[in-house]
Amino acid sequence: MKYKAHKLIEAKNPERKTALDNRIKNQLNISDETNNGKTAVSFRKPFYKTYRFFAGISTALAAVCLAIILPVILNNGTQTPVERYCYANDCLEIRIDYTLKEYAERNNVSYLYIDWYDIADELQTILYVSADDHNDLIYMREALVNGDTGCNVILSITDLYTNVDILNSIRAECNNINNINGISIHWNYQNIVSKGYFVYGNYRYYIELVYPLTDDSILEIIESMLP
Amino acid sequence: MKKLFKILIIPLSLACVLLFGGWTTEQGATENRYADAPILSTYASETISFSSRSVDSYYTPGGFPLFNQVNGMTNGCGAVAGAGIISYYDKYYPDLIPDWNSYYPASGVYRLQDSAHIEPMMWDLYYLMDTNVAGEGVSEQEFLKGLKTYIENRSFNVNMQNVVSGSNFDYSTYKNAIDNNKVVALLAHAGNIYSISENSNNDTITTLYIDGSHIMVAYGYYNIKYYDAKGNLFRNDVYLIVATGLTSSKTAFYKINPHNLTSAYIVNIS
Repeated sequence: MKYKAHKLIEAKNPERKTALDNRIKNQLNISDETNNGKTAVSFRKPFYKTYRFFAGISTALAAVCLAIILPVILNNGTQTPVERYCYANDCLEIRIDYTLKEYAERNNVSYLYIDWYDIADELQTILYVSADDHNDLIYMREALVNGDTGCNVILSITDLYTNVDILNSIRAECNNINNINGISIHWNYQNIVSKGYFVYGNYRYYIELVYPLTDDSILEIIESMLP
Repeated sequence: MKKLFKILIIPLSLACVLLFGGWTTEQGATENRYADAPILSTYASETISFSSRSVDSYYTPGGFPLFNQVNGMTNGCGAVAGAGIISYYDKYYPDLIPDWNSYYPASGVYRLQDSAHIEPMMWDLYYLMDTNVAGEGVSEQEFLKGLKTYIENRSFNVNMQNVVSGSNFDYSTYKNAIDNNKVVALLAHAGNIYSISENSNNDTITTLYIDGSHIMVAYGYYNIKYYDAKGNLFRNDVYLIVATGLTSSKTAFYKINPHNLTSAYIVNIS
């Protein structure tokens, strides 16, 4: 009964109805669409539901991922070392029965060394590693003694990011600077022990010469190490 | 009267116990112990400019064995000093370390710390000195007893002569001992050691601080006088040359004017 009455009302004055309908559509900015032969009115989708929105978001996410992953790939997964300070007493001592030169060859590292291997009566090569991670080399040391001359030299090596308390004290004492083959050598002379240090390549080298024969004996030893 | 006595006996007894206990505690508390001591570097640095200087310096032939404590040892400065002393005198009394030459005959220089002979000997001294038993490290008596026992077990005699009395250091007796190739065990409170970098018209003195009571061995002297342009003496520093027993700064200078020593024993072996 209600449906018939509604139809009767709608059938009255159809032109006015159409005009009103068009006016409403214009105000709402609605376009007619055809859907299987039937006229349908549809609203424009909000932007956040459009294809362009999702495409934009996906592109932005992909760019962020690339920005994170690419540097890692380009650096072969390596990270920039962080400077650290270590205490010698906290290190574990590992004595090896081959020379510093052989260690460098086996591990493909370009260490300088004191080539006294043919004349040294005594040689000790020691790795000082982290007690928590035995693969983490803190510093290494090689001591050589020439029994005939009495020369006793100790060479210690760290990378450039590692500071060790006992080696830092050498740096504090070396207040002379000489230049040898473009390398700055910091050193001192005492009648009981001369000390020196320098940087070459990726490593810092510390030398202690016990009972030096002359005041510049340590410079001669350092010069003999440099390529 | 009896009543009064009964009333007073308890508080009097309590007072005696407290007094006696306090005295013994005080005695125990003042006994110094010598142990691991880190070196704090760059404590200070000083440059002394001069017109001229004179140095009276000598150290024992071949120097002194520069040992440090074995990996795994704690508070072992007594054992390290003892091992250095034994190794030093092995040059003059070969059976002190059986089947081992502690030095190179050609130069007289001492050998490095050997794992087969020196380190086992160091461990022996560590236990003979009762290290870390009554407290951290060793006391003066434990150090002397352990060293003496080791030497006497090798059928030698040892005599210890102290050259420190309060703030006085008998430099004359010390110098005479060094000149006769004796070495001296230093029992030191926390204090400074020095590194002296020598140049033509200035010396740079770097002060390093040993942060704890520690035992070292002196094997030389370095008496330096500085003069100005008019030839006036403006400074005189007297140092002992010491083997610190530490991994860093194995040998250094120890100033005695003034000093910070409890004792300094000349070790005489016969």
